[in-house]
Amino acid sequence: MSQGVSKNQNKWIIGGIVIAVAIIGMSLLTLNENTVYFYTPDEAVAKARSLQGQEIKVGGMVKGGTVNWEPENLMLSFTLSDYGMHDITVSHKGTPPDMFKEDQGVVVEGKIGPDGKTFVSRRLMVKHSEEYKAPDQMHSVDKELLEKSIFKK
Amino acid sequence: MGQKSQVSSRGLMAGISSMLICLGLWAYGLFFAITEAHQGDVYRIIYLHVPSAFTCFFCALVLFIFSIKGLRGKSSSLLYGKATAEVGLLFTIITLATGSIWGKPTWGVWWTWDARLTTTFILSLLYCGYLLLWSAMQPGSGRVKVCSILGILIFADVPIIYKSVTWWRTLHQPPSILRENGPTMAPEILYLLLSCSFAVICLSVWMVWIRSQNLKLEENLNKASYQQLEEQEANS
Repeated sequence: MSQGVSKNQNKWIIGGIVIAVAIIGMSLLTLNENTVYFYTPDEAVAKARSLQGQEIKVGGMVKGGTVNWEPENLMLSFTLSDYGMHDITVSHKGTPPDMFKEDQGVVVEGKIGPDGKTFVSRRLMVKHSEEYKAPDQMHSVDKELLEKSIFKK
Repeated sequence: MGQKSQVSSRGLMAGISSMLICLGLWAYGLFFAITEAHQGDVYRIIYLHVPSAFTCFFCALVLFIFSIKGLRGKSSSLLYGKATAEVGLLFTIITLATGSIWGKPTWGVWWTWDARLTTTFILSLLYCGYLLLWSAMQPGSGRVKVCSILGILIFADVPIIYKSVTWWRTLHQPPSILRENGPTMAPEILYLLLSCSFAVICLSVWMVWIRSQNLKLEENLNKASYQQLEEQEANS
């Protein structure tokens, strides 16, 4: 009998912890407006000095004609852009995902240079748009949709 | 007795047919549906991922209705609530797993803590919390109240998950179907996806129904065995 009671208590404690974690997680996400998943290039450039030594994420578009992939030493470099004022040259070691291409959305995780012009990426993630097209339609990425999703305030 | 088994065989028929329809649609999606222009064949997991996501939202809605009923004094609805939470948890796990499998080849990562993924993960924790509370607490009005309040809270997470990709910057793309200027999907993909979603929701309704019958039976068996024990005690 006493064993049954302590078992029940354990369940209470576990249940309470699960709920507490869920509530804290949810409130952290909703209440703290400073929590952003990634910076846009203009934010990252503006804050580059204060972000020194920190691992950050920056999201933007892969600028056309800037991708340089060296398969023999797995070095990738390209310009991450908001198609406006701010370009960041990203260098990344490793094979990019299949969907990585020019004019695609991308989120890089790594460290930004002090002047905000260079970025060393440790993790590269592709952010694709919400369209699903039949193969006979145009093969272009819908840049407008992607930009709307990436450069939101 | 005869009538009872007739009802359950009709239920079994409903379950088997919804399962067959799901399997047929998935097979169609896997082998015959059009290839997607950007992603190629890897997109086909959408026919499992999106219907599962809709179904775990649907279960949260059903749980919400049972919870309101529970708070209004219909204590038997708690049993249906447990069945719904179990099915909801199952489909949340399927959503997270298929999303992860899809994320690796397209995004390049299995997992990332963006708002869409995190809020969906929280939904799975909330379903777990509901089931833990349900089995930890003594049957009675206390359990009905606590579980029903949690059931209502779980439903509150659904609009947060849904709007997460619009409210915050995320790696997950914004909605493709329910959006302002109409769906951004080729009609072939859209209609198959909607059919799949409908079929999986039907399957989940059947699963909730059969599981709650199961739980009822368990409860009645418990009662009967206690009665028997008491009778034996009285006789001796």
